[in-house]
Amino acid sequence: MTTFSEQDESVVVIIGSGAGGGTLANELCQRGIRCVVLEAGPGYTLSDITHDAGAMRRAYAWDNHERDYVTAPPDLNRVFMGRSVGGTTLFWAGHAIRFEPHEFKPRTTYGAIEGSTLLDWPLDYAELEPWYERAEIKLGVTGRHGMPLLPANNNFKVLYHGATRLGYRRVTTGNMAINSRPHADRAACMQIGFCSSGCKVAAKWSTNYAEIPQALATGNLELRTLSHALQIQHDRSGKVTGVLYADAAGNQHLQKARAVCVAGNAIESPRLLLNSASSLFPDGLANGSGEVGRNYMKHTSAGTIGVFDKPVHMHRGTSQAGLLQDERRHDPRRGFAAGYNIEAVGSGPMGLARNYLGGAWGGELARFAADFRNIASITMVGEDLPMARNRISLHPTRRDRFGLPTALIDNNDHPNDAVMTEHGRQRSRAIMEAAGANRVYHSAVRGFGHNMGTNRMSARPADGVVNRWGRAHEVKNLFITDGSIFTSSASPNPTLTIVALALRQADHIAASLQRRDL
Amino acid sequence: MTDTNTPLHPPIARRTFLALSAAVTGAWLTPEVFAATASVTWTLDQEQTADLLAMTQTLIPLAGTPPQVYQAIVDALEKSAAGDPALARLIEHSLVTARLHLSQPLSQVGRDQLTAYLGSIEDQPFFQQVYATTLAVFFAHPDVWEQIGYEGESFSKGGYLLRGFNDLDWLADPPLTAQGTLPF
Repeated sequence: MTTFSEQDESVVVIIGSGAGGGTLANELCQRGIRCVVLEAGPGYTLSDITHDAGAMRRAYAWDNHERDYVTAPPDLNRVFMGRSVGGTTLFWAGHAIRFEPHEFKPRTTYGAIEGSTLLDWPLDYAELEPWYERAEIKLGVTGRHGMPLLPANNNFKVLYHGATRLGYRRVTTGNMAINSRPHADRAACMQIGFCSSGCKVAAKWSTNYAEIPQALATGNLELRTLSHALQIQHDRSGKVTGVLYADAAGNQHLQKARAVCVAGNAIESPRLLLNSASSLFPDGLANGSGEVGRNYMKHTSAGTIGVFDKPVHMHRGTSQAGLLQDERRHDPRRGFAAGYNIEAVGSGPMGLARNYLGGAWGGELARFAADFRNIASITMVGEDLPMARNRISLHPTRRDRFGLPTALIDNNDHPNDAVMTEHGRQRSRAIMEAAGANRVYHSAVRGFGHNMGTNRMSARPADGVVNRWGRAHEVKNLFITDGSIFTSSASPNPTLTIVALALRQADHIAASLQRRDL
Repeated sequence: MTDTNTPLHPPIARRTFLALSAAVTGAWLTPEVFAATASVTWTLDQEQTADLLAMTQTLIPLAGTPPQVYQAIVDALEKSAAGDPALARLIEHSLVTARLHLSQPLSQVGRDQLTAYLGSIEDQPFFQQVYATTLAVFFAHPDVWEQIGYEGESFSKGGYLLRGFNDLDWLADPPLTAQGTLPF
């Protein structure tokens, strides 16, 4: 692997190696731009992946490794963040869904909503479309560009028939970044399951084995694992000059940089900016607007399981095996703004018992266990509204192992989120009953673990943190390259849009370097 | 107090007797009492084991579950408590309290009575600890998986592609507009 001196001011430093950081690194390296990627976690290979879900979660989920980093409301779903090479792409489920045009204009489409800081994106669908195309080809998304849809598994059959019996039409096995045919030197899906523990045959796209090795092969990337970013430093003019980070032994290093790209997920990225406060940026780096950390969104969510008289065996095959999109339209007659999707989400018995039984025991728990093979499972995932009070801030007293304030998460449902969630719950129940379920349960956890919005894009500097390219309004050579730049959450799972925005940002950075604008 | 002249002994073990005596004599279960009983090599005695087995069987009374599954739950509790004196004290204290309340060991009361008692304590830390361990061990146990039809990891067997991922036959196969074909 190529190495660069810590004094080398010509490199671009990218913090994080997931969907945003890993993609950006590869795109820049392919263009001959030299990069240093700082990844807080270790680098796992396919042989390190085991299909013991608990063990894998401990190995690469941020909140298990860094338990003290995050303080969240107890009813909020787990805060999913990867902490290893590949970031969250190692254990995402693979949904790669585009926004629809109206989802870039939520303020215009939905109108003013009390209690929400809703804003239109500073770019529209037509502008992002070419990058969506490139992202889909890169990821090998099913149902696009000649990649066939995945075959239907048992859990999807239940969703499909329940939904179509209710008149729904947009229901397929989904646009998945999981190869249905061999593609890009990666195998086709063998319906192994355990997608969220890591795909052992690399059928699911991850920067771990797709973008990062390609970037390393150019000779323009140095990947530093177990390198935890502590602070972004700047000069008197307000340009960033480097990143202070700690290595595996806890020793601190300062890597100089021509530009810094932050891709640490929508909880750690704002924390890093807030922890980089200085006399020039007293409220946190690039935070003159006060918007860093605010507008934290995580998608509305409600899981539903149906118990049938006959076997389903939903755990066989890809974890998330279907997508219903009819409800993602904006239709105020339903009593709420924005929309949601319904996804087939298979699970083993442990996840179901924890999420659906709500503390049940005795006969009810035994009956549930006895019925396990006859259970199908779906989840609604929808657009939640940004609110100023839903935010990541620095914990007043708790410190991480480096002595820095940890992340404190405030998150509450906007009334619109609650009404949408209840609608999704009722429709999910109807789908299960239409398919023949004799009992239906709903999960109690709130939110989907898609972290978004905490360094949002805005046309006006006062409304957000970065501009339409993901470039900080206040700091010319600071970029943000993850879901934190989402202006709104839209209904789709966010990864494809993170990748498309990273591809577009790479072109912008390359062009800026060429013009000597960086 | 003495441990030689009590009608409760045997079969109640010494530390239980100490706790009971303390309770009966009004010296309620102070941390000191239990600190003295929770030694470094803490283990469950026979009676505590029987009580916890009865409790876990009541928490998830799945017909046909082999006894080693419930024993595995109790073993996991014992292991956790051996490394966690506070948990060890909580278990001891709670089982004594339960016996006082029920006037007999948990293992000897009827299922209905035990269910009613557990319902009355389900918000308490002891119940929550045992419940969490029960879920974690029960649903991760290979014997339970076999019993309930969960097949676990499939990579070592080539995935589920040829092992029933789409064998549900009580609904029609969705059309090719909604799904794709197999990869070969």
